[in-house]
Amino acid sequence: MRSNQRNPRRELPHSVAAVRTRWFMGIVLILMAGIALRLISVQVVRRAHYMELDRVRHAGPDPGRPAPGGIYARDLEPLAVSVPMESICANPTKIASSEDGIAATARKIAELTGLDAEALRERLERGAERGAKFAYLHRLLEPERVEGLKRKGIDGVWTIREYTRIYPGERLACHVIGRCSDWHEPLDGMELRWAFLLAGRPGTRAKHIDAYGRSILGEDSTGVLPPEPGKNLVLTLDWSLQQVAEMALDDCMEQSKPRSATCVVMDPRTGEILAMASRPNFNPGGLEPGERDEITARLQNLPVVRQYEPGSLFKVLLAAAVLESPKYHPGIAYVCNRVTQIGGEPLRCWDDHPHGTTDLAKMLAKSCNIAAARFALLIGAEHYHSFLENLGFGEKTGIGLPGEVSGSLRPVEEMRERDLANLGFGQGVAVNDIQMATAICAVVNGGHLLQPHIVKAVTDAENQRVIREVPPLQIRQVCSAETSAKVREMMGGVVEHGTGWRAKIEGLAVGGKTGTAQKWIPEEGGFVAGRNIVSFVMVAPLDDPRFVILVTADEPSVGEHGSEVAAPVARTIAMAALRQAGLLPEEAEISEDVVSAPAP
Amino acid sequence: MLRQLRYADFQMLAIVLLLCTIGALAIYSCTKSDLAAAGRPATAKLQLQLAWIVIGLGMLVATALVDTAKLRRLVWPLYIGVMVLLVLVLVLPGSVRETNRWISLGPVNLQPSELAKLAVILMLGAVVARVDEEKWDFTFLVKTLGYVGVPSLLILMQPDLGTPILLFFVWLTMMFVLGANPAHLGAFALAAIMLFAGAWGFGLIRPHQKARLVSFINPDADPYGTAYHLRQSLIAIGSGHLWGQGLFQGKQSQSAFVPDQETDFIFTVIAEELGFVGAASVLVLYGLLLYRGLAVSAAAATTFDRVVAAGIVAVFLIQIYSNIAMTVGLAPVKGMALPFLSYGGSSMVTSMMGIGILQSIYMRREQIVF
Repeated sequence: MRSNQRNPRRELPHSVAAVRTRWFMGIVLILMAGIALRLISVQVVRRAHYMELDRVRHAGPDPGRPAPGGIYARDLEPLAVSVPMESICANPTKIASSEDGIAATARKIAELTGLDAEALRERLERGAERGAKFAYLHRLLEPERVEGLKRKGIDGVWTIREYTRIYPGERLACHVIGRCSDWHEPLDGMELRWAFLLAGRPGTRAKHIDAYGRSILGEDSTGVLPPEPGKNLVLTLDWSLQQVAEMALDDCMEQSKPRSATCVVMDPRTGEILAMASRPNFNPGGLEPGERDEITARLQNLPVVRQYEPGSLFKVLLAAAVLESPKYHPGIAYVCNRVTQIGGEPLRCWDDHPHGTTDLAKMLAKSCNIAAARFALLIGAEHYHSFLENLGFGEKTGIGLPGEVSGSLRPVEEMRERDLANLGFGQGVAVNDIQMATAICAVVNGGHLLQPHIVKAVTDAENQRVIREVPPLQIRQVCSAETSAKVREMMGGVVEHGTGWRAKIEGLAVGGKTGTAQKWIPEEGGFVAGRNIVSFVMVAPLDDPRFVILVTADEPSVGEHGSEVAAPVARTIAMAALRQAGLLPEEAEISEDVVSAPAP
Repeated sequence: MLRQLRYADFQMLAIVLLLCTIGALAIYSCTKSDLAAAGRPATAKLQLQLAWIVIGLGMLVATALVDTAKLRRLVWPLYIGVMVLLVLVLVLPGSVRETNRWISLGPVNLQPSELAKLAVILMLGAVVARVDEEKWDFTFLVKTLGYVGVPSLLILMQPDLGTPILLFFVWLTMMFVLGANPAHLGAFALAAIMLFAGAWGFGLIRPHQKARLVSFINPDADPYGTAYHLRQSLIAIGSGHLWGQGLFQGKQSQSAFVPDQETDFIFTVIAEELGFVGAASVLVLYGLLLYRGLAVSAAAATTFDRVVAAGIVAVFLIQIYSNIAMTVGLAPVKGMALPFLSYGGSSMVTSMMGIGILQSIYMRREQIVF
């Protein structure tokens, strides 16, 4: 009997209770199966999800700092590079309670490094008072100076590697490159804009830490991810052309004494910025002291952050718009009598001599305001506006430099007759240099509006292997190739027998356009005579443009027009660029001295 | 008297010992770092747990030797005594996490709500045994529920919502196993749910309980707030994978990320360090334990025995299920120990006593067979 009772299954009486017991066991099985399914889901199916959470949770940071990447010109000439240095750190609290004490430790460090013992002692004492466990004793020392200290080893004192930024070109392209603080924090320019690439990633030590951040006893570092050095940035800037542009601007500042001056050199085939300079400028390696406003002025990258009325430069774009207009035919010409009435107000031409009968080419060559106004009225606000909009005005170019302004283009609906007339010669519109140079490139290169850019490539820190290249990008076609050819021809006329004669290069056809725009002075509530932004845009060579050079000068003290102040600067840069490209004819070299002599 | 021990259910005892061993290892694994960091011996909690296991086993044997018929005579004194303790715990000062659940007896804390489970089960057994099976109608069900209700109210005032809910489910299970009309039980369950919903609506459910329910529904909503517990638990379980990270190797378990890991969340340690295989093995062990318990109930000599055995199995089931379901995110977080695995004396001793009663019932099963 008893052996029978050992097996309870046979004992179960056939009662309600027995049935219910089986039911109950069934419920238990279902509940357990539910948990088992859930476990399978969490532990087997979704394991990757929880594994990732687990990994993130247990990774501790590593103090190792990555070497920041450098900024290079297109020919890999360094513009900004980082140099490893050593900083001496200490645990003041630990030292204060050590056998030697603060004074003796400070003396020891001073002996080993040649630093001032008194200053070290002071720092340690200040740290110990606060109960600090970390203090910098001296930052950014040459590695040789701390070698002795490292060899000797003082308890509670150690060194860490930090980097200092140096700019081999000093002021060269300072506005484009930007600057870093003494502790290598990016502050401006490409340094700031591309900090995320340049900085690299700090290393991590996959250390097991618990919820309180303590490292788990008996656990060694299991996986160390070394710091990932920053990437290098290769700019489109041409080092020697940049040098020429900087020098030319320096000359311009000296001779014409403007408040500021800018220069942009662009490749109309690719949209690459070959040189960009701005005056006043600064030394990124160490800012010279000065008034607050004056320092701010020095730091501004004017070609990007300043908007201004372009004035007569705009007539190039007007010419292209007119050529594209169905209302235009080559026979159309207007008469310039120095003054006319448009929109109920008098409009004066800039020249003391009337231009007489003026067709499109002459309008550009003589920079006739009256004819420009008439042509603008001929093609109408809508056509002109959409043409300008297509060229990118009123909108940031996205060149990738901090602080770009968008400029402004008056909407068609708000454009009265007189506004349209003014727009013909570049008044009543605000642009930045990059927009202007990009638009000129588009109308001379066959009508291709290209994306202006200043980053050529991102390369590997170690061997300059290209990680990513920025290819030329056409945004849209803005005019026909024929229009473009005609505009070039007319720009050639400006240099050949017009206002831009100072830019002429012997033996090579080049084009250009002068600009003299009155400045709107807010304090005066209007335009003031003699306070102009003068400019010159140059295209060289004319039949197959390789360089578009835009030079502006703000309120020159000597000289009043773009032709006098800006054109020679543009020419100097063009000569250098052409020479470098092997496109400068011999006779130009020979006649160099003759042309650069003061004009009669 | 000891001769009777020959008829004990050794399978069940083996399962219990196996579970205790697994629990002790898991407790050592997740407490050693913390204890060492606090400057205490790494095995401090392990030693204490082993002591509790030994004490528990002693209690098991002692309870097993007590004839359930004698136990039946003790029902009323026990029931009243537990009531007194439940009142005392409300009155006496001293609290754990703002709730009055423990009575401090020097080195040991007594949790009267644990004893209440036992008292209620025995009481229900006695009440049910007095009445013939044919008379188990609806009114009878209401009457039995009354014996559950009084201690439940006292426990609710601690406040502790988990134990009353457990007691209700124990009652439901017992009545179901005994053969009560499922429709009646369904009506009671529905009423309980409506009561709970009403309590929620009238603001009688405390904010932390609401928060636990909400975070149970969406654990990722507030990872560092109320859902922290569950999220950490899931990370631990999830990183266990199929075979686990190895005993004493679980990163989450060794890192204090899961609060209360040695007590309510001990299952996460097993799941992380022994993987799905280990966790599933524990489930199987518990399944076998419950099965053996039901077999005891079915083989019981008297109605009292049968009811009590079913009640004990119900308590085990609910504790096991709600604890594991909580750690894997199938049930809201609430404080409930996992029998034989969780660190702590109260749970260990009461669980062992529960097994002791089952053994006592099993050993005396043949009395009426003769």
